[in-house]
Amino acid sequence: MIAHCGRRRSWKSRARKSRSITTIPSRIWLACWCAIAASAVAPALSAQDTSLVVVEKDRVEITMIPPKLRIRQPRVSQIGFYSWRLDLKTADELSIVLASDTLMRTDNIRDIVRGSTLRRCADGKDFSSLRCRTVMTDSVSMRGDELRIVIRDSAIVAMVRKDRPSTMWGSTFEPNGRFRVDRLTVDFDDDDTDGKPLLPDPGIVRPKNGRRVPPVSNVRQPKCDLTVAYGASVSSAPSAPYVCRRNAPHKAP
Amino acid sequence: MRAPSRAALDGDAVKYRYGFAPVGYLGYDLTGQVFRQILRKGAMDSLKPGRPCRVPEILCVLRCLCIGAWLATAVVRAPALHAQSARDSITTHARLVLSITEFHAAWQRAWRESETTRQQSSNGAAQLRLRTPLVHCHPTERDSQFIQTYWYGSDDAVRQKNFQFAQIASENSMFAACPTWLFADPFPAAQDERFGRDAALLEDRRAGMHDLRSLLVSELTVAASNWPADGWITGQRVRFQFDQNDVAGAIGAANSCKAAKWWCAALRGYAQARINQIGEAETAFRDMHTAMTPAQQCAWNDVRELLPSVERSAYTSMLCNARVGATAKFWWLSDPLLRVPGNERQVEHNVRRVEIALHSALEQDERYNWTDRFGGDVLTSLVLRYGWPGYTGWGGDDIDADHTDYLETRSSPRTSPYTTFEYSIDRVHTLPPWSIVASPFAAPEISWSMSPDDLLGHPYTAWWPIEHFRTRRRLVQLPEGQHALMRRETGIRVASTITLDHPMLRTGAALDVMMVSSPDPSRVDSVARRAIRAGTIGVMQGMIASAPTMIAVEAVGTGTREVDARARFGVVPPPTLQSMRVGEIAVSEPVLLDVQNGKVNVDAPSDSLLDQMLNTVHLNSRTRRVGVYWETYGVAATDTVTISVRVATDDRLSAVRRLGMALNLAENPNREVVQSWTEPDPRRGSKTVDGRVPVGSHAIVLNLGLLQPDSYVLEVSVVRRDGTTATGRRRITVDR
Repeated sequence: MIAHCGRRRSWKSRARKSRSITTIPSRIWLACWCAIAASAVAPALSAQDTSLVVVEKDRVEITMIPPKLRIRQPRVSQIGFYSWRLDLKTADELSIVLASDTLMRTDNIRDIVRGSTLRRCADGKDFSSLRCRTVMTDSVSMRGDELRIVIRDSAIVAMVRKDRPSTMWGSTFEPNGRFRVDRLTVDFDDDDTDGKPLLPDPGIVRPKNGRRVPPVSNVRQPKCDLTVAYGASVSSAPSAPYVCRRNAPHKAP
Repeated sequence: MRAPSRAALDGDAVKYRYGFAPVGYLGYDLTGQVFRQILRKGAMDSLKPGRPCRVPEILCVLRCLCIGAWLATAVVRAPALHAQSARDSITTHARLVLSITEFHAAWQRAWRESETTRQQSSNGAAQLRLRTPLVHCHPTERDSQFIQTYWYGSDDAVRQKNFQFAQIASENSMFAACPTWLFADPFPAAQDERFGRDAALLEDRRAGMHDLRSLLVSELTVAASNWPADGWITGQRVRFQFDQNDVAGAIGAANSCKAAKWWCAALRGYAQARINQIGEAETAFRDMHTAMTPAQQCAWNDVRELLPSVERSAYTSMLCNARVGATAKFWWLSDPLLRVPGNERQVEHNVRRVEIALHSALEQDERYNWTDRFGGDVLTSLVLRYGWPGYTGWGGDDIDADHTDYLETRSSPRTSPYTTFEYSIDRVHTLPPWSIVASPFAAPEISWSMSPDDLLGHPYTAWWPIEHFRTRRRLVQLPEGQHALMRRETGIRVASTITLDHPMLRTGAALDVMMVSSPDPSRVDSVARRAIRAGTIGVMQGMIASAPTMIAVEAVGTGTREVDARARFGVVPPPTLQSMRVGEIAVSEPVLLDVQNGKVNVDAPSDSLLDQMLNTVHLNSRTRRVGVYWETYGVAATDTVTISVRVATDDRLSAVRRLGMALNLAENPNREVVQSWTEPDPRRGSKTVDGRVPVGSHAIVLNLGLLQPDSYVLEVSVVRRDGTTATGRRRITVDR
């Protein structure tokens, strides 16, 4: 879409070279249009495969993609229950579900989330999401098209921090029987790493064979700051090249 | 949240109650994709809003008013009568859908963990490399080409092999499946999934899944007791109880079905087939067929998926009614063993149809997406053609991501996890080519190529048929033999030599061999039966009617050896002696005899002479000296006749060749050996049995050692003094 915008602009500028008065509003209109289109597409693009779990000192933040698989196909709303389920392999097999309270007939993700309740399953062994009864008061919100769950329940946070599972399963369910199961990498934001660069999980470093790896956004990273990256204080550290993956070259100059 | 209003729900209830809801609605139509399509095209069209009016305006208005009034009546009346129950039904279904879907997800997690463990085993990485080309099944690759991969031999040595790149591509996406033989035993072991769905899981994960599934089954059982007439619930209950290995429960659920008659019969047939009660299953599927509407029958009996693309167009061009007879013949010719009651192959086809309906009742099952736009048509075709795979190897998250990239860059949705589809090597292809369905009685033995096997009895890896299935007992194909048809007073004597030789048949093992004839799908007659040891040559003889029929020689292993063998061919017998006119003469097909002492004793009864039939019509360097036996009919012992035995090639000559021969510029490539004599001749060992139609037995010994390897016609002609001629022919092959 963005490429299309670019082509259209250059064509207009050539064709209407002599009509500079009409060109400027046209360009403004195009710029606006592109901005609107980009803002509409960006969350959808960014939402792809960006499920991640970050365990901080006082909370667990879980970001999941919505249940809809992202394809350009007309969708009809289905009647039934929507559900997200998180299964952590801790000692007590923690399972948390966000399931719709009643039958729903909508394809609007925000409506689904508003009509759903976050619950904890007893010992993680409840068979169906609808049988999980322990209501949790933690926050569930939508950020763009992403579902964001922040769990502040100290018992759960403590359990997760104690057992330190490296991965968890995130599942999404739709009324028509469609589901998706993802293995989510759990990233621990420990106290003793504050102020230090966070090394990415070795498993997500792009290997030489070019195979696809989880996106960079899966890794919690400090802000990209070239002065920090190339500064004397960190350049000697072996992890320096990873400090700012997006901008920094793989070898410090 | 925009909660569904009561009115909306009631409306849905009405739609559900009266069947106006979008077809495929939550998969409640339960009958699988085939019937979803039929309903879409048929009943639903007439009620579609916005359908263009092609009738005069006033009629259109009237029609709309009528439909509107009818719908309004239904909407008003239905809530009062059925709203509560219908709403409950929707809730029940929705809850069950979520429960089943969550079970599917839990199973997939356990399976992915099992596969990951296998990949991390000692030879897991090597096996993954072997499987990768089959997981990355790209429809852009040319079909039926060969790919090179490796095969673990019985001695665990790895050998490089060519595999046929079999491929089933989707019509809706770039998803494709590359089914293949199971070429490397996964470790830690995965059992064949025909023993149960959980066979794909590691043993330590099966108990957990069993517990989870028992909860699901309980939920389905409660729902089924509340909604006994709900076919979808009953179907899922049967399915999961079988997955749970609760055979009695599954059969009970199928037998207590109160849903649509045809669907209940289908479930009963499915259940009986799963416990190998083929006869009962066949009866149930026959009931199902009777209870179906013509449109359902047409869709259910459609066998186009089982035909190669070149033959498919001939089938699809036929109307439904015309297909009925042809399809019945097709299944008749596909029956693995005619002597065994029930057609195991046809039952298997029905089982596969039910299996597809059960798995596609929701968009996804444990691993695969069954909707067409996600490539579900591939799975439907795969299961119809080959059944459920024995093992499905998963490539892992990385390969999933790679293949998703491949699909998405080609505007196809992701359908991960991607797997191989591997089948055990004990499967056979019993379907005949469609071409012989039209003329089955002209079919030679080689019309069926059940499985070209190697020295160990395994199919060649380069062989991959359009379909196959696993018979209850191992079934192998016997080599081509020699068959003879001799006229008798009221019937035809049929004789067939078979070589009971196959790597899977242990030499010396006892086999119960039966020759049967089947003139049509509804009739099978026993012709002869005897015990023969494996590794030997046997001749089966018996009487059949003088009418076109299929002849099958079927050997069933006795004792603990569960290997059966068969040969099958069509015959068009000549008329009986009784039906011959006075003065008419005829000659039988010449028969090659195994010459023991260099001569043939014609004085022996003809039936015992037939016991000396050679077991093949392919002559090699050791069998070039053969006896030839034939019978004359209507030629009395005192009649003077000239008999000729001619062995000649019958290559068609081109016009250029003929011109060349006329100008003496080219040679006639056809070669022939002719021997003629006049009878009666006391030096010739002929014997004639007098009667209304005299029957003469004649035999000579031929040395065909000088013939070049080629295909020849062995022809016996009898010319009476009045010029009446009769000829009998047989095609033979001289090999190197």
